[in-house]
Amino acid sequence: MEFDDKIPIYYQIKNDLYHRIVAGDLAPGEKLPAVRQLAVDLTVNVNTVQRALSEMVTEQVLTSKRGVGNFVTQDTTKITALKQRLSHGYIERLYTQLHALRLSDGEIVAAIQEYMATTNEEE
Amino acid sequence: MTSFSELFRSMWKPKGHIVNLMLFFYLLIVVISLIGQVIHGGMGDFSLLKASSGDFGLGVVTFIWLTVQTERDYVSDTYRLMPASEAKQYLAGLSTAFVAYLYFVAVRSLVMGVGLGLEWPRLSVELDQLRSNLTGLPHNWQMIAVFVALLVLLLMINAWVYVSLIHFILNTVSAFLPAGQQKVVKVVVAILVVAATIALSVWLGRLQYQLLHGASSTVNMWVDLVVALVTIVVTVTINICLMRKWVEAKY
Amino acid sequence: MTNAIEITDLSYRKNTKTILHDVNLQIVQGRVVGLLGENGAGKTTLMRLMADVAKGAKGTIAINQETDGTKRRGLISFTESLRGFRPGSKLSQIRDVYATVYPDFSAQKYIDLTTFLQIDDDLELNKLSRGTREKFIIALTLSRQAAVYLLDEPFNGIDSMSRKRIISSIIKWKADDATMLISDHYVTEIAALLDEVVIIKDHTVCTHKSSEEIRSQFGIGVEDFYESVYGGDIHDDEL
Repeated sequence: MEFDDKIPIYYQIKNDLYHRIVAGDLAPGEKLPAVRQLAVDLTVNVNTVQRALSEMVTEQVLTSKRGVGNFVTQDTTKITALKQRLSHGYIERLYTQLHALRLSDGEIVAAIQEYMATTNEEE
Repeated sequence: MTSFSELFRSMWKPKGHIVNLMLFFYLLIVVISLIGQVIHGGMGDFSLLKASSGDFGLGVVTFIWLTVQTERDYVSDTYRLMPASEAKQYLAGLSTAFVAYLYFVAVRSLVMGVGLGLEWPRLSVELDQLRSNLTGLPHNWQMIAVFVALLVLLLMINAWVYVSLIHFILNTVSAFLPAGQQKVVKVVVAILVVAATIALSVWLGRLQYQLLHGASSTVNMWVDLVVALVTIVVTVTINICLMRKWVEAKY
Repeated sequence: MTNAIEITDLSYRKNTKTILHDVNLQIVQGRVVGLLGENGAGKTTLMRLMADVAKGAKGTIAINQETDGTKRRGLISFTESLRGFRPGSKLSQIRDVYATVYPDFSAQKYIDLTTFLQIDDDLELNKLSRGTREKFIIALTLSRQAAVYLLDEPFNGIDSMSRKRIISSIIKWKADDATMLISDHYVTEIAALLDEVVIIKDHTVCTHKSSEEIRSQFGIGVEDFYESVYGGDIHDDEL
């Protein structure tokens, strides 16, 4: 994984894990690699990984079993909420940017539908 | 913490290597001169004693080489980073040099001893004749021999600690003093070196005179040894202090 | 949290030149810290003073609360030049000296590190390329289980593949409670490794910040931050 040095790295690690959890690459209840292994895989400091994981434990996206490791939560409502939070963020960004181009709400919906229609056709 | 014997072992390695190399040259010279003897005079002139007792300047070269290695080790981060006090580091450097030189002398003496043993039947006869002719030998000549041997050892150590002292002073001065003061100190050091050399040669001259003329009493000899020993102790103390406070490792 | 390194009012002059003045620095145990500064800024000198192989400074240096030079050397593993060894020494002989002299030397860690860094310790010291020599020095330094590691420009003259391996080996083998100070004047590749950054400028510690704080506070990377501090784009009152 390539990091953007302008953004806190623990934040980017969290984001990456969020996406993997929501996309199902990391299943509910799945054990995460050990902190040091994650650090080696990502080529980042162990403390940074630790910080990302402990914040995710606080957010209850992960659960931590002392001496065993970190697991993706089995509480699917947490994962659904996470999915909503992430997609809401993307939609918000898209909406603000299109709005800044002076597109009306109706035009935005139409543009998105048109876009989806053409990309689906191409596929 | 690193113990003295661990330090000794680590500092021994390069010095052991130097001595082995010099001994190799020595044995090479012995072999070559044996071959020379055979070529020139046939088997009859074959003498290991003659071939092995020449010095060829090897002793001096070994001594200087060991001195250079020791001084280099004192300012090498490899040794200075080791977790042992400067006192231990200094003494390990000095004692490895000393033992290395003794090792050199011992192997040479061994080879010469073998040569001597081979020719003993002939030599013992000559020695008996010599002894009966030499009535002028001081009555305490055995003691004088021991005294001279001890003195040579002490002077050798003195030479090493003195070189270290000069090295450490110059090292400290050139690291910490401004250019002007450096010159002053260097002049003082130069005067010191000359003075010490003169004092040493005067003292040695007097000693030689006393020994040759049997004028040296047992008490005098002991005093001389104690003086040499005290000089070593004082210089070593100064050296260790300098090393602890001022002498840096090179990088 | 205990401080592994505590430097108080440290000043050091050589001849009449000031090399470091009024350095104050506290580094918490377990951190990986980048010591940044131009060539000749005094990074190496600061490390040498910590390991008590540079002398005559004013002020105090404590490593795990120990101020005594000999004890400090026991706690610190410092990348050295290897010049005390004969050029013809085999690497395995150098390893043996390390194993003899350093009580915290781990033979297992040495094997792991030399394998990982692809070093053949049957080779002789003078047969090594610059890069392999640096890698070997890193392997020796990290094979000690020290409280504090001082790596002085460990990536100099090393190709980028080896650099990555060294970085990985640091992540893999640095114990959680061991503290590490890495000096460099080029940070991009190690930026993700650093918890904190200490910048030496004008003979003293100019700033000491967590790397994540730099990213969130200034919205720039560690390398950009370092350049801005040196270029004067970030003023002292902003630090």
